[in-house]
Amino acid sequence: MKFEAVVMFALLLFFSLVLAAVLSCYREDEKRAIVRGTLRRAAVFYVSVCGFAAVAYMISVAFLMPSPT
Amino acid sequence: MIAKVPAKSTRERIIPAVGFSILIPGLGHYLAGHKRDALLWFAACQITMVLGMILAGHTQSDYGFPIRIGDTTLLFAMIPECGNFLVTQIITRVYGSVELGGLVPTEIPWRHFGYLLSGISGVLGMFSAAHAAGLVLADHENVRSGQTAALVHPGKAALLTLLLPGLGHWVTGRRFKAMLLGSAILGLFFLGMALGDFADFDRQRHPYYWAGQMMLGAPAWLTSVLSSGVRFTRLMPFQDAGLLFTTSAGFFNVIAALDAFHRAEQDWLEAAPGGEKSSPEARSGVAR
Repeated sequence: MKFEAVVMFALLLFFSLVLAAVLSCYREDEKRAIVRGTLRRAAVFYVSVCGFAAVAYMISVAFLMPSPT
Repeated sequence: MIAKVPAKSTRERIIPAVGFSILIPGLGHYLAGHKRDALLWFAACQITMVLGMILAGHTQSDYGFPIRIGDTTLLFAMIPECGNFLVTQIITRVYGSVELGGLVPTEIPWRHFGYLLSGISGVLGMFSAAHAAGLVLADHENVRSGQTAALVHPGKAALLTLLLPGLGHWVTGRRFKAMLLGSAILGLFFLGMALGDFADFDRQRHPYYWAGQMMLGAPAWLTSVLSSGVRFTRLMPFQDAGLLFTTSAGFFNVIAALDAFHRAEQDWLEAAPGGEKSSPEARSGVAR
């Protein structure tokens, strides 16, 4: 379970980098701007998705888990 | 940097070239006066479409859906074949899927290859529109003498991206972007394929994802041929992520092709004495 979670985060990081690279290449045309844009956009996307995941996890633990009787 | 746009007269010629190319690949080239290109595009798209339909027993129509008003069928939506619009409409109306006659898909041995060919036809139909638009631009935005050889017309740049992600940028001299886009998109695609044990490029199982995968172009088409006999032998824990990766890679390649087109167009317009500065509305969009 722990190993799968680590792999999922690694896959999310890779996807974030590729998404950010494609978007930065579309928006910019200079090497420096592309590199900076890629890192910034990848970080924003990665943190956003992790944030949504954290909120979803907390809601599931707090409200959706069956309570012990 | 303020983007330049083609002159109004050129833009008015580009729109019908794109529209007619989607309707019948090659027609946009023909109307633009490029008869040899027209014939090549028409032949390439229609041969692959007809051959693909025959090989798959017209079962492609099982993956589309009719758009109706009352009992009247207006259009038949089928992705990506609709890039070759008119012939897709005709074939789906004239021929029915052999599955309706009681055959099951596994009784059609060449169906995967048939799907691939008809899908290629649709994708090529879409890119024929970009190629026709690039030719119209090259014909009507005259660059200064001696610079034509150094420039790539935008349609060619887009088409090369379909051949290999990043290649369209490479030929326009954007080597860093080419390598970054090529490695990122191909890396995403092949990692996705590996996560699905190279068995997840299958229209029968994921028709909508398959349409996205087809957009990656030649590397994906080749992978599809090579992996058509591969089946799952074990449970793949990250199969869904793999499917997402391969489909996303296809869509990212479309973005790369659009960028290659527009960058080559900017290069062309920079070298042309004519052209217009883009309007404030256009400038408020993507900064170029």
